Amino acid sequence: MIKNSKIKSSIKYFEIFFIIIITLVSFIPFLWLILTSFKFRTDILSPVLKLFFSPTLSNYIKAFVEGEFSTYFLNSVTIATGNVILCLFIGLPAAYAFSRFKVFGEKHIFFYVLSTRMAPAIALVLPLYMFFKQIGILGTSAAVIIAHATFNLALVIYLMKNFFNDIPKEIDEAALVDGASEFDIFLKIVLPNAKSGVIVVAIITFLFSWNEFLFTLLIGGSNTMTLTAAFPGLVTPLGTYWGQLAAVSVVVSMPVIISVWYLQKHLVRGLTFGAVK
Amino acid sequence: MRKTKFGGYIWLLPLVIFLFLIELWPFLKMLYQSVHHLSYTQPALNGEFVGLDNYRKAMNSESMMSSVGLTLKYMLIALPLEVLLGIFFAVLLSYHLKLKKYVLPILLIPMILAPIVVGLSAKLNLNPDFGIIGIFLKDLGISPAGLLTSASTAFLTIIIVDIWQWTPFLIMIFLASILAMPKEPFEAAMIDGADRFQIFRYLTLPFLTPIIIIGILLRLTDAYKLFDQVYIMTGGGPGSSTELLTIFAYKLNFKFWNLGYGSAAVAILFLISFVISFFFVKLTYKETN
Repeated sequence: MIKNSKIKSSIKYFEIFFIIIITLVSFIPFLWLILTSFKFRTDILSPVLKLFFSPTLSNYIKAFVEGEFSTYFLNSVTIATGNVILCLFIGLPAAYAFSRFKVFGEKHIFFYVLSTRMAPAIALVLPLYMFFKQIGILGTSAAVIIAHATFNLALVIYLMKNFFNDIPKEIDEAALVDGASEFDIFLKIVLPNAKSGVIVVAIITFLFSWNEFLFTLLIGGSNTMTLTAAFPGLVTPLGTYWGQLAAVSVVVSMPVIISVWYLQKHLVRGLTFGAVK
Repeated sequence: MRKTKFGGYIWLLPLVIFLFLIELWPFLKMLYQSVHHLSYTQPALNGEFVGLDNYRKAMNSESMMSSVGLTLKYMLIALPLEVLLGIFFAVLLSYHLKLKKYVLPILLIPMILAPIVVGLSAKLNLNPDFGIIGIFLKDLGISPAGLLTSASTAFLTIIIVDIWQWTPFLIMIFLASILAMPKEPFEAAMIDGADRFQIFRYLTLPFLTPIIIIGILLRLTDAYKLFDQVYIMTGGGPGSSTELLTIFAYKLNFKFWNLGYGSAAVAILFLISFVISFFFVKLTYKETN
């Protein structure tokens, strides 16, 4: 009996050890990227693994102070924010309708969400590229903001519909009896009650737009260059600017990591479209 | 469901305008394009109606078929491995829930990073001259030239990167659903003296099956879209050893500027995603209802 429990507890410790090792190993590549961003070029290209090196901010300074990346940062913020506003403006009323009224197409939203999520970026980009080129807005922030809505809008509608469904319909029916208009109910009752849902959806939408690469690269132009779209520009025939690439990567990743830790409990539901709660 | 004087449709107006103007109209224009000749490198015949020639060309194109094959191969290898590892790790973590708080946020990092950062990070780490994993592999005598520079290893490497990036997603949803399972059957099984394996085999796994199916389908949709990581890691090379369908379609349109033929290829890509989405909807409705 004693021997048995000893085996059991050693298995337990082995499992804990194993989980920790796997977690650390999976973290190494990103850690290496962070370390690289603080290294001088000679340390980056050193074939000997040095645990200690003299840290420097030179890569950040080269990219964000001497280079153009502070502008790209602002472009990223503008495009992602613009996209959130556009998606909420179109998506909130639509989600409200799907949640509250009998309207055509309600059964097909799920298919709409999936098919836009499923379609590869290149498939969504090509039609828009030709269309925007024809109407002459290719290369503008507005074009990129609209393009990002093709994959974010469906997500906003689907998630917000679920949040609206959680608000009891009796509340708005009572207000209706009291003489409130449909718009009052939406703006003064339903939206304030779904505030935390709107924030979650806004953050998720922001992050998808922030992380996006191909739309921004092809639909945008030199005036709308974002942090992610500028990556290939640092891989030149003369060599790859690893230090700056790493510094930009860290800056791109920070808002994502911070907000995802904040969103953790909503993440499962958000990323599985409510299939897993 | 209440009725209103507007019938609720006024709320849908912005959406309907967006769908027609930004999604449907450009899509129809692309279909129109796909039956015409348009190439910036051979502009002489531009605008000529060619019927289904572009589609025929795509279906008979060896490089298109090889990219379809690669996409399928990549899905068939990566997805089962991710699901198995995901189940294994979710169950293991469910035995040690105290660790969840610390382990899960770290495991999730590769999944939430911008795909382009994931690709760059993998490329940096795998570099045989100065990447930590690349040097390690070189010291072991494996792939001294680097995993991504040889046609025989590049494809396998993008699969491993995908596993690194996406297994945590499956761990997260499997663990969430293990924790949401009813407690009683598990307690009863413990009292009856069932061991861990029996509990897994006869309780956890059956309860988990619907979520496993959803997990596979969600990963399938993402796997089909894979682009950014491969674009920055290999750009489809060496040769065409990692040229997935998405990379192929990208090159056709935005590298060779063959937009007529490219439109036909993209229309085929769309068709595939509609078919998969359709089955997804059918399957998940069955599972959730």
